[in-house]
Amino acid sequence: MKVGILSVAHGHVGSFAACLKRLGVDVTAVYDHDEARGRAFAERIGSQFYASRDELLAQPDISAVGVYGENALHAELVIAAAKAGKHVMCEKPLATSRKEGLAMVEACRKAGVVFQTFFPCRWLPSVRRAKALIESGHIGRIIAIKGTNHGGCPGGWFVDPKLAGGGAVFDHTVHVTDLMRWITGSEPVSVYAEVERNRLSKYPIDDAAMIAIEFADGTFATLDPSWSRNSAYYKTWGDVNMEIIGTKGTIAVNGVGQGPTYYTEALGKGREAHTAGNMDFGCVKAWVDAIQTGRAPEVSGEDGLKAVEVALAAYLSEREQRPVSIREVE
Amino acid sequence: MEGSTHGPSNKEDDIEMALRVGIIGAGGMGHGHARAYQALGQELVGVADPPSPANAERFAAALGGKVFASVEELLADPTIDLVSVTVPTPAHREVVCKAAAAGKHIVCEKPLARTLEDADAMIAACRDAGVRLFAGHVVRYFPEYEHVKSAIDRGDLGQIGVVRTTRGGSEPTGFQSWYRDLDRSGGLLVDLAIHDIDWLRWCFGEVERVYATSSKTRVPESPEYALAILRFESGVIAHVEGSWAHPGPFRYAYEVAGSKGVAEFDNLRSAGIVAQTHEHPGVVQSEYPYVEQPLLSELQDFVRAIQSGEQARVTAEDARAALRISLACLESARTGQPVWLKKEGAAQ
Repeated sequence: MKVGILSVAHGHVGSFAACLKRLGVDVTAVYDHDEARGRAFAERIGSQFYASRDELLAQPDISAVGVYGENALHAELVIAAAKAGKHVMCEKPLATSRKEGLAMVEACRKAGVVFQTFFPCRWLPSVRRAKALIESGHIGRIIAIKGTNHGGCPGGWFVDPKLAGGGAVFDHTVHVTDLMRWITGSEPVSVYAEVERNRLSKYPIDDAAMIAIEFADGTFATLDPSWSRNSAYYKTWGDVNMEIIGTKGTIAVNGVGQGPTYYTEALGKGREAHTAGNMDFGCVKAWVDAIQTGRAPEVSGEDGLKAVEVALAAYLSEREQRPVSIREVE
Repeated sequence: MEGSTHGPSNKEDDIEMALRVGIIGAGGMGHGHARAYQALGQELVGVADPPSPANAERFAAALGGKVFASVEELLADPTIDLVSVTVPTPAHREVVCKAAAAGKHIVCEKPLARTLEDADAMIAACRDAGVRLFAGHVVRYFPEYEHVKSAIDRGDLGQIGVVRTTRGGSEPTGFQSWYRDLDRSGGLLVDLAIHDIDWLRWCFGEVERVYATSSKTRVPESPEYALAILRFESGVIAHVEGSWAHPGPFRYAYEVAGSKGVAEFDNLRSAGIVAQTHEHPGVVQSEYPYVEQPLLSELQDFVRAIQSGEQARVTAEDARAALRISLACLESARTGQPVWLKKEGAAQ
C-alpha cells in the first residue's frame, strides 16, 4: 500500500508519516502549495515531491492520501482526492463550514473511499479504559462531562483566520467534542459559548473561551479549548482531560499527562513526557486497517464534521450571545 | 449604637477587650466558630440550638458555656456582644433580624440568605439597629487564595483570560437533609459554589452574565453536580465547578491563566499529609493542615473590624452580591438560558 501526503502545514504530519512507516506502509509522494516547505519534508522522509496536487493524485500506485494542510484548504484537497479515488485521512478541524464538511463527506461517499478524521485521542489508553469502564456500568448513567483541551498559542497560520478558520475555539474544541460524542453515544444539540479575542496572546484571534454543550441524551458538558498555556508551562500539549460524572460515581480521565516530568537547565523549565503509548499510531493503524479490510473506520469524516459543528456553533453563539441549536450551523 | 460596645481600641495595645460571643446553631460550623473565638481569646458565653437540644448539650460539654433554651433567651443576655449564626440558610433571616433587634453584632455563615429579599432585610435590620453584620465567606482567608490574588493584582500573570475553580466532595448530611432541598439550600450553586463566586468577584470585579447547568434539574435524585460559566465585565471568563457527587476527600482547586502566566492549585495534589493504615486498606486520608485555620483568620478580621470600626475584608454587601450571582446561576440552570446581571440602582 502506498500513501501520498497533501500538504505538510500541520505539525502532526511527521507523526502520520512515522506511524505509516512503522506499519510498513510507504509514503511515496508529498505535495504542498508551499514548495519549499513540501520539498524539505519530502526529503526528510525520503519521498518524492510533487509541485502539482493533481499530478500526485494521478499516480495509480497511490491508494490513499493524508490531508495535513491548513484548515481552510482541507475541503479542496479532500474532494480532489476523493474524485481521484483515493482513500483519505484528514487532519482536524475537518472543515471551516458545515457546507464544506458535507461536501467532503459526500465526495468520499460517492467515490466509495475510506474517509477518516485524524482524531488520535480516541486511542489514548486512559480514554479507552474510561469508555470500557463506563460501558460496564461502573459509574452508572452519564450526567455531565467537564472537558479541557488547553494549548499554547501556536502562532503561524493557526492565527490567520483565513487559513485556520478560527483560533483556539476552532483548534481545540474538536478533539474532546469527539470524545464526548463517543463516550455518551449521543449528539450535541445546542451550544453556548463565551469567547474572548486577543486576551491571552498578542493576536486578534480567539484565544480564551468556554463552551457549554447540551447532548440529546440530557448530558451537559463544558469544554475549555483556550490557548492558555504559555512557554513556561510544563504539561504535554496543554492537556486532554475529562471529568465524567455518572449516577453511580465519577471518572477523572488524564489523557496526555501520563509520564515523567523532566526539569533540565538546558530547557530552563519542566517538561512532561507522555509515555503511556502512541495515540497517533492507533489512529493511523485503524485507517490502514479500514482501507485494507474494507470495513468502516472507527472514526469517520462524518465524526470530524459533527465535532467541527460544535466549534462553528460556539462562534455563532458568541455572535448571537445566546445558546444556539446545532441545526443553525452553516 | 455604631462601633464597639467598649471604648475606642488602641492598636498598639495587644490586650483588646474580649468580645463575649453567643453561638446560634450547635452543628459543625457552630463548633468551628466557637473554637476559633476561644483561640482568639474571645469569651464563649453559650449556645442555642432549640431544634436540637442534644447538639446544644454536646456543644456545651465539649466547649463550655451555657445552653440557652431558645434564641430569644440567648439574645436577651445583656453580656453578649456578638453572635455567630450557624443555622441552616432558611433560618438566617429570622435569627439575624432578631439578633439585630437585640443590639448584637452578627457573624452570619454563608450564604448570607436564600433570597435577595431576605439578604436585603437582614442588611437593613442591622444598619437600622447600628450593629455590624459579617458574612462567612472564608475562602478569601485561605492563604492559597490570598496568595494568587496578590500575584494577579501585581500583574505577575498579565491580563487574566480564563479562570477555573473547583470545590466539592461527597454530599453533606445536613440537619433533616436540608442541603438536598433546593428551596431551602439553593443547592450547590448557592451553598458551595458561592465560595468561589465571592472569591472571583473579589479578584475580577462585577459579573456581567452567567450560564449554568446543574444535575439537579435533570437527575434530581443524584448527588448534585453543577457547572457555571461567569463572564465578567472586565472580560475575564470563569468556569466554576461544584460537586457533591465526588465520594472521595473534599477538594478545592483553581487555575488562573493570564497573558503572562498560569497559576494552579489543588489541595489534593499538594496535601500536607496522606495517611493510610493496614486496618483500613484503600482508605486514604488526605489532609491540608494550616498554621492558622482560615476560619480563625476570618473571625479575627471580623473581631478586629468590630473593635476598630473598620471594614473587614469581606462585607455583607459582598455576600449579597455573591448571592445575586449564585441565584442568577440557579435561574440559568433552570431555564437553559444565560442570565444577565443588570446594574442595580444605587437605591437598591
